Amino acid sequence: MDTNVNALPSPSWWRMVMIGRRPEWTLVRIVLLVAVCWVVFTRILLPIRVDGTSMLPTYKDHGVNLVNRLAYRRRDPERGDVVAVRTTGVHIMFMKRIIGLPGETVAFHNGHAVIDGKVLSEPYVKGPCDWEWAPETLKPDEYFCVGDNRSMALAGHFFFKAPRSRIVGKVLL
Amino acid sequence: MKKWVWRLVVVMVLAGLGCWGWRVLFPSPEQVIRKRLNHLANAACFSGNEGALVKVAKAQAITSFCTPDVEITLDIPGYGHHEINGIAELLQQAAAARSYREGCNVQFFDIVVNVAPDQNSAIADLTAKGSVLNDKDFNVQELRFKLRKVEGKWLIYHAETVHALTP
Repeated sequence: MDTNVNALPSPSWWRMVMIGRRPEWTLVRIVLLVAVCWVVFTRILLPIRVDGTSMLPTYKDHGVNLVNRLAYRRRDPERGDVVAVRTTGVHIMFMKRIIGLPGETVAFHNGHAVIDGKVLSEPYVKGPCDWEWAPETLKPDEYFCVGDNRSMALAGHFFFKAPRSRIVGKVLL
Repeated sequence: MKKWVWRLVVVMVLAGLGCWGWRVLFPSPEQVIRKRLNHLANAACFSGNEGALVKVAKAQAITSFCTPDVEITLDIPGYGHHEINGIAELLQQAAAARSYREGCNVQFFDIVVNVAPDQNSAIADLTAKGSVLNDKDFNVQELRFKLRKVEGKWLIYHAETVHALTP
């Protein structure tokens, strides 16, 4: 009679589902997956939740999005990019659109953004706007960032000049 | 599973526990300051239904984080410019804030601590998020705290708002 004494007993179905046929490889896969997720979601794509209405109608309050931290490694931010600007860290960031680039003069007249004396075409801005803001020239590393919701009162809308070092990345979606 | 894999796992777990234990038993000045500032944020929170004694106790708790000659300069958009000089004025302002607000929640994020080479003074930059209770609007403000070590405790001697992103 020929019997194979080295054959492994077949594992029960629930064990197969939970930890697979070879637990050591399942463990390795879990560790790798956790490591990859950690790297991706802390170094490359930062998950964010939109809090506030300053980017309406492009981005709604409580929406979820991702920030691509690698977007500006090889190039500088461009006009029209929606970017995340950090505070002292990345747990609280401001999501705004860049309308003014370094060295440019930015103003608001009759609700229109004016860059170097020319009215900027902004198809993403919906609704009426009556903002007035005196011309201001940006420093060599400054970007003028503002939200898309220009129906808000100027005093209630937080917009700013952001140094390049504060721009974390480009909003992905 | 192979023996060496188990050994590796055990060594890694022990190393992790060792690092964690070391940090708990011998915290760095940065950790101590972060912890104190988070306690300060907790002390600054209050709800409208607190009793008078609790209000006074919590207001006094805030002063325990500061030196007697503390200077605070706050310039928050929408709330104006405020200056507080000395611990007595701080206690008075903290108690007054509790009496006319319906409640407030304060949280500190991204605390960046730089300790001076002499290990006796430090600067902490952080982002504060404050909101009135039952109100979905909130304020975000960057703050800078200057601390000095007094009898083994890190105490705030200067605090100010920082406007790194200006229109």
